[in-house]
Parts: sequence; structure tokens; C-alpha cells
Amino acid sequence: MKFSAAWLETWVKPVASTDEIKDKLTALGLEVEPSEANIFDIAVPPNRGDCLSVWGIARELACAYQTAIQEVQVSNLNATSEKSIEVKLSAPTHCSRYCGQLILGIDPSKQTPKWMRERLESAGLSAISVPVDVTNYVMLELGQPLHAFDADRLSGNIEVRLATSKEKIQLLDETELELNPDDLIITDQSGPIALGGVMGGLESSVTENTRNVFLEAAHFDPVLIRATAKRYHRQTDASYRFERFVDPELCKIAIKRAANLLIEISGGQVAGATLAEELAAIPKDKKIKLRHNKIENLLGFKPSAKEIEQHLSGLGMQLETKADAWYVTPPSYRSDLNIEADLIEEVARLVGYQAIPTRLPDSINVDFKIPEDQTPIDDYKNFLIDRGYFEAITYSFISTELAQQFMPNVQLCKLQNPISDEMNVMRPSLWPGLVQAVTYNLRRQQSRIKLFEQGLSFSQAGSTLQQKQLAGAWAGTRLVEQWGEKAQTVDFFDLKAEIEGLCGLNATTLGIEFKAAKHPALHPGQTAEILKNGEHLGFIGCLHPQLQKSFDLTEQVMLFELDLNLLQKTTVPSFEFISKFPAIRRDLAVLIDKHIPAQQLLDYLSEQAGEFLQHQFVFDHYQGDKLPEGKKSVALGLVLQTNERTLEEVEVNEVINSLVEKLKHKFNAELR
Amino acid sequence: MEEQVANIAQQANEAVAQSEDLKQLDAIRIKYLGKKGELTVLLKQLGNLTPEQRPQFGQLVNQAKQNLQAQLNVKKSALEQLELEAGLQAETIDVTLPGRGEQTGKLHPVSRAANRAKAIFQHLGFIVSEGPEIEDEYHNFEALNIPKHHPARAMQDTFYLTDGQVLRTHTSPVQIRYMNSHTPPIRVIAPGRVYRCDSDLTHTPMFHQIEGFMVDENIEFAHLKGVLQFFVSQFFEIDVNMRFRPSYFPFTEPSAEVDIECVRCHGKGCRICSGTGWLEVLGCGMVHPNVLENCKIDSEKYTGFAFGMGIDRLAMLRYQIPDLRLNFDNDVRFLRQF
Repeated sequence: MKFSAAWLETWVKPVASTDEIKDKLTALGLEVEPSEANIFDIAVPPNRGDCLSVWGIARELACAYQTAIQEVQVSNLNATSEKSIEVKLSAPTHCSRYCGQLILGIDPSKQTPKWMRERLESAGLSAISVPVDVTNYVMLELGQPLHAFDADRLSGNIEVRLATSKEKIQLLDETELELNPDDLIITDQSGPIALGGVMGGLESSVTENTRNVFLEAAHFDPVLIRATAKRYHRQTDASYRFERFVDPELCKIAIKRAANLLIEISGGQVAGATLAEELAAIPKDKKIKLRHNKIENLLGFKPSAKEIEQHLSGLGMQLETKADAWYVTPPSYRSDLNIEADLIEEVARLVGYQAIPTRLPDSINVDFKIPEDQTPIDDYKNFLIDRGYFEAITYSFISTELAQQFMPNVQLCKLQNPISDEMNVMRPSLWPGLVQAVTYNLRRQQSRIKLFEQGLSFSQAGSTLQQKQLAGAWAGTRLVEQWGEKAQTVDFFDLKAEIEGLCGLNATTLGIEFKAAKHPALHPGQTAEILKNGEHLGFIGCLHPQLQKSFDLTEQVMLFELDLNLLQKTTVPSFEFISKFPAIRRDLAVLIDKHIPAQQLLDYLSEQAGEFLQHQFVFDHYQGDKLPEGKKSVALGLVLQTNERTLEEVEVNEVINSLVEKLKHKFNAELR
Repeated sequence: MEEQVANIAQQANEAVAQSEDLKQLDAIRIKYLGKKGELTVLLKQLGNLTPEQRPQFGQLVNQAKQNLQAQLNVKKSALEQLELEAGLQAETIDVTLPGRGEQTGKLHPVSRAANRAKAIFQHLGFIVSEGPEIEDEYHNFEALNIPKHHPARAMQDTFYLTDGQVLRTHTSPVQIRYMNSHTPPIRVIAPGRVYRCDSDLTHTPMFHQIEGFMVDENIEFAHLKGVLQFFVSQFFEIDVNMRFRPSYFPFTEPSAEVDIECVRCHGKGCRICSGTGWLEVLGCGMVHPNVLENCKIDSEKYTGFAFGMGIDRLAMLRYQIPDLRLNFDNDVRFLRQF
């Protein structure tokens, strides 16, 4: 809401400087935005439709400064003609009051006077023609949108009703609309002449030749106006005000004011006035109970009864004082005051929020839990940070194309109104965003990138799934550029070490399995599915070379993504016995077929070795020319121990020999 | 006899003096003092002497032996010392070369600010709760007293999914979810990503908010002021002037917007605060009775306050980040600064 200080002064004599008044308005909840010195630019909140006018703002100031406010300048005009246009309200719940005023014989050559032009311009409107300017002026001045019809272009009487879906209207902006049964229209005998409360029609609009004017000032239902304005994307100054509620009493005053001004400027005679109303549909006066103690309860301090009464009546409220409470009737222009809390806010803002004390509440909250079988997310973040990862935050929405490239088999959550095509679905994985971030950095002279992100991935599977993920990307060398080490490109096992680290954080890696797998976004020969106690934990692998190419990357990118909820699951630690007796280490080097996964050997050993085998691992691995075709050499370390005694050579040999036999039998393994 | 001993002793001494390493020295020891050493052999010849001559001779040889041993020891120490020093020299390195290892990564500045805010509220007894990012309209609007066709919906341009759900436009839905499953006293903060259909110099379609709310008997607006004043002072580590301005949110009544004195110019006016001296940091108010009732909480018995602030904004103010969009570029040259 914009207007000049000069205009405001015609309503309320300034009792302070313009800057002080601006601060005062801000302190009242009508935030003044920066503008030229003598212009007020006020951000009126949506619940204060009554402040979308100079008069409304003046009322607030008069109350805050407890000073006098000008009255609305209307004088009764004597009708010199009986001619009038009848109005029928056929949708009274949507339009419950319609004021019409016929004015005959204006002089179309008259120009809008300078003072009005200036004020319109200060509000951001340009002068068009006297009748239109008068309607705009009164709307800005009092807050009631009006419309002027060329009375000669109307036929018959007016009906305010809902449209039918076959009806059309050509609006002032020269576009044609196909109407909807939820639209409220003003019609005459010929059909729709205006989209009620939103915009007038072209056919009946005022031109430079108009001599006879029919003015309209009506009360429209906010909900319907908003729905209509939104439906046709036509937000006008009129619809803006109606959707924020205009005082139903205002149209009666505003139409007189507009008639006065029009005649003053363009001459003419007042003819018949029309008032159609459905009193039952007009909002009634409310009586709100405001309890003395509730004010203190809610705010934390208690203004005096006198102060409270002064402020409320200053705002135009009627007060009935009873023993424990006031019964307050707000003025008809305050639709935002409905409950006790609304009145308490009025008191608070007039007294000033700075007058409310500042203190801390004093209870202790014991309603919390710190489960120890859940590793905090920050632990994982810190782990990755220690390992050189930077935390990235990428957008939750990506392009459909990218989503399908990475996760073609997932049903996506699509946006109806995305901000762009590049962001029109919710990401089914954190990888696309991370790979984009990696690409961004590689293009800016970074040669080694380690990024991680924690966030949700989205998909549809019956219902919407929003899963917490921890994902990471690593491109470039294994180590930061070193003087003492030759540079090596990061590989699967570098990343696997970090995953093993993450899985082992505050937990045990027993139960963690890496299985060869396929994932559409990853290199088919370098992908593992990670399982935690048989449940799917996530994937790790190398970005598929085709995808790498589509990002125009020369570096390969190692990726991982883990289900954070599952990762966080752990157990509260519990002591395990430490043996007093020494362990015995035995090594076996076996020659086996290339395709046998090392884990399979280890699992088999674990199964078959009996109670003495505590630990088994691979410490060497060789595939090369020196070996027979199709074979590889795997060196296994076995650690045997018991809690009861030192194992004897004989026992150990027995176990080892038996294992060697079993390996030969099961895997066709040859001892080297 | 004496001559013989003296000669051997002299030879031995010269050899010791000229020896250059421990190996040589040991060879000398063996040559003169070993099983077949020259001095040892001499002692064996005592038998060829008369009983009167033996003690004198024996003493002479033993003396020579002891002298030589002493010399050997001294020389050995000296040689060992030299060897040690040579070794130390050879093992000297250039300590100014960089360490062999990893760089340290960093937390994203938004996470950093969020953690800082969380820690402050946790110290006040607030617990952390989270909610989904795809919400239904009920939790994002209606339950928060924002009915359909309400002009307040225009205050937040909403992303809609094709199935009618929305991307949450604020973290306030977590209030509803929490209050639907807990009874007062309630003291909760809820950080997270939020989404609005807005993209320009100062707005990104996705950003971060932290919601806080407290519901109990006798919670006052004064407490809201107290908690927020405490938070702001702690977060920025200075006594910041704050002002509360009446405002409008459908889910609070009274509502307020809170400005803090510009942390850069301390209220004098600068580019950061557009010359006003104030920075808008959060919206807050007393929880609207309708919201409490929607969660089956008796609004006669209980009152509450709620507040919401932008974490990106807090991070930008705290860490002097000039442009919001930097938070989403994920440029490592930016990320490593925090």
C-alpha cells in the first residue's frame, strides 16, 4: 500500500516527523519499507484488509497517537431523476450487498484534477479517465473497490449471480474468458458485464465519450474472489482487497463519496441510487469475551484496565465491562478479530512489544531419550570430515532425465509446478547431485574431490518413501598430491576402506557383507551391494563409464550411498572375554579359480574350522602371468586360540590339515 | 723379555690409534688379547722362566694387557660415538616438507550454524525432532490454521507434487506431528530443509529452517522474548539489541517478527542491512489456540510459543557469506573455508 505523506496528512494531522510516523507504523505491525522520504510504502499483512487504504492507515495512527481523525467527506446528493437500474442478488452468500448509483450527463472533456492525479501516481496508478480515476481514488482512499460502467452500454437491469459454464466475457484487458460455475458475475440483459470483484467487461466500460455513468460498490465474499482471481491469474487491486475482506458497511459510504467527486469534477446529475442487500448474509457483529487474567497469562504482564480500555476503544471497539471480563464488539471493518487472543494481540501491539518483559521459563524438560543403540549422525559426518570429505548440500530436486539415468527402475515423485525442467522430480538418490557437484569442482581446477551429503531420497512404492541417506563421491587420486609418493587414482578398495570404517563406527563389522551386484548407475564389474545382518544397507561402486561420459568427466568417480537409519543401528557394548593364552597364526597360500570370491573361502573356513579359529583374513592376492590360466593365488592368515589353555602344535596341525583337505575338495584348491 | 712386552704394547697402541672402525678395533683386540693373542701367548711362556722371574714377568704382561684393554675401550667409545653421529647425519630429513596424508574435510556452513543453534537450544532443554519433507496439505497448512483459499497461502509459494502432496514450505508441520503424539510439557526444535517456489538473487527454491516451540501451562510472550534473546546473544556471542514487531502468521496470535541490530554495523546502517540498521531474522508468536485444538491440546489449560528462523540466513550473518546461492554451489574453495 503506497501513498504520499501529503495525502495521509489530510486525514491525520502529523504529530511527529514522517520518519517517526514510519517507525510508529512498523511498531504497530504495519511494516514500512524503504522508499522516498515523503512516500509511505506499507507492507500490509494479509489479515489487515482494513489497512489497504489511506483512511485505514490514518485510523491506526489516530489510535496510536490518540489524536483526531478527519471524517469521510460525503454530502448527500439530491437525485434529480427517478431513473435507476435495479439490481437483483441471486447469489447472496457471495455478494450480500450491492450499491449502485446512476449519474447522468457528465462532461467527458473534463480532466482529472492535478491533486487527484498526484495522489494516484504516489500510489503507483496512472490517470486514465475521470470516472475510472474517481473509482481508483476512492478505492485507495477508503479501501472500497468500485467500478464504473458506461450506463448507455448497459441494457435492462442487473443481476449478480454465478456464471454457467457456457458463458463468456471479454474483459477490460481485451482477453476473453470462458466462465466457470464458481465464478460470480455481474450481468445485464445481454449477459455478463463484469467478473465480480475482479475486473470489469470491455463492452460496458467507460470510454472518452461516456456521458452517463453507473457506479458499483459491493461487498463480495473473500473466498470466492480469491478462487476466481487465482483461476484466471488476474490479481487486480480490487480482487486483492476483496480477498482480504472489505467492510460490508463501506460500500454505502464509498459510493456516495465517489458520486460526490465525480460530479464535482465532471458535472452531471445524480439519478437513482440502488441498494440491494441480503442482511442475513452480511457478517454480524461479534461479541468477544476478553478475560482480565488471560492478558497477563498470555503476555506475561498486565497493562492497567484503563490502558486496555483506552486502546481498544481507540481502535473502534465497543466495550461492555463486567466483573471478570470485557465483552468486546470489534468494528465491522475488523474481520481479523474473532477470538480472545486476537484482542490480546491488539492490546500488546498498542502498548508496544518492547513493554513486554523478557524472562526465561523455569521448568526442566525430562521428556527426552538418548538411545545408546543408535549412533548419532554427527559421528558419521565427523568421521568423513576426518577422512578429508567436504559436506555438500545439493538440491532435493533434479531433472527427470538425470533421475532416470541413475535409477531407471524407481517410480519418481514428480512436481506439478517445478521451478525449472532441471528440477522437476524429487531425487531418488543423492548421487546425481553429488556427481554434478564433483563435475562443477573438476571444471574449476580441482583435481581431487571428496564430497559427502546427508539427506533424503524420494520414491513412490505404494506410498511416498522418504529415506535418509548418507552418500559420498570421490574422484581423483588416492592421496593428496605428495612429494614422497607416486600419484595413484582412487579405486574401489580405497572407498571400501572408508565404508568399512563407517560401518565399524560405534558398531561391529561382523554382519557386514559386500556382495558383487549390479546397479544401473555403476560399473557392472565394480559394484557391491552392502548388507548389514542380511538387510540391504546400500551400494558402493564406480560410476558407470557411460554416465561418466555423459557428464563429460575424464576422471572416474567412486560412489557410495547408505541407508542412514540402518547404518545407525548398533548394540550397546557388552564385555567379551579376553584369552590369557597365546594365539597361534598359520598361513595358507592356495591356488584357486579366478572367479571364486575371496569372501567365499573365508566364510567356508569360518564354518568348517571349529571353535579354535578366531579370525581369518586375506593378506595377499595375486593374479598374473606366473600362474596357470584362469587361476589366482590367495594367501590366507588364520589365527587360532582358546580361552582355556595354550593350543598344542599337534592340535593346530590337525585343524590346518583338515582345512586344507576341505579346501581342496570344495574349491579344487591347491596348496602352494 | 721386557723389551718384547714393550714392543708388542707399542705395536698394539699404534694399531689402536690408527684403527678406523669397530671391526678393525675388534681384530686388534683378538690379535693381542684373544685366545691366540700375542700378549696371551706371552703369558703362556711363563713356564719357561725361573720361579723368581715369573711374578715380575707376569705382572708386566698383565699390566700391558690392562693398558691395552683400557685403550681399546676408550677407542671403542670414540668410534661408537662417531658411528652414532654418522648415522644421525644420514637419517636427517627436511622437516619442512608436507606430511604424507589426508587433508581434513569440513562441515557445510549451514550444518555448522544448525549445530550451533541446536546446541544452544539443547542446553535449554529442547529436544530435536524431525519431519518429512514431502507433506500433505493438512500438516503444512490446514492444521496450522491456514485454510484453503486463504490469502496467507500466497505468502509461501508452494511446490505441489502430481499426487497432490506438497514440499513443506516451512518446518512448522513438525509442530503438528509432535503435538499429535505428545502431551505438554513440550519443548522441541526441528531443523530441516524447506521449499518455496522462489528463485532470485536472495531466494533459492530450497533452503533451511529451524522451528522451535514450547507448550506448557503458563507459557507467556515474555518467555518467548526471553528464550529468543538468550539464543541470539549466545549465537552471535555479543549482546545484541532485538526488536519485536507485531506481524501476522495464521498459526500464532499475537505474532511478531524479530529484528536484530545489524551485526556488521551495529545499527548504524550498511549494505548488509540495506541501511536500516536492523536485520530480520525470525518470525514467532504465541501458538494460535486453533493449532493447539487441532492437536487435541486444551488451549484453555495450555499456552505455547513458536518461532522459525532461516538457518542459511544465520550462517550468512555469522560467517559473512555474501550470497545465498554460494551455499548450494558446493564449490570446495568455498566449503573448505568453514
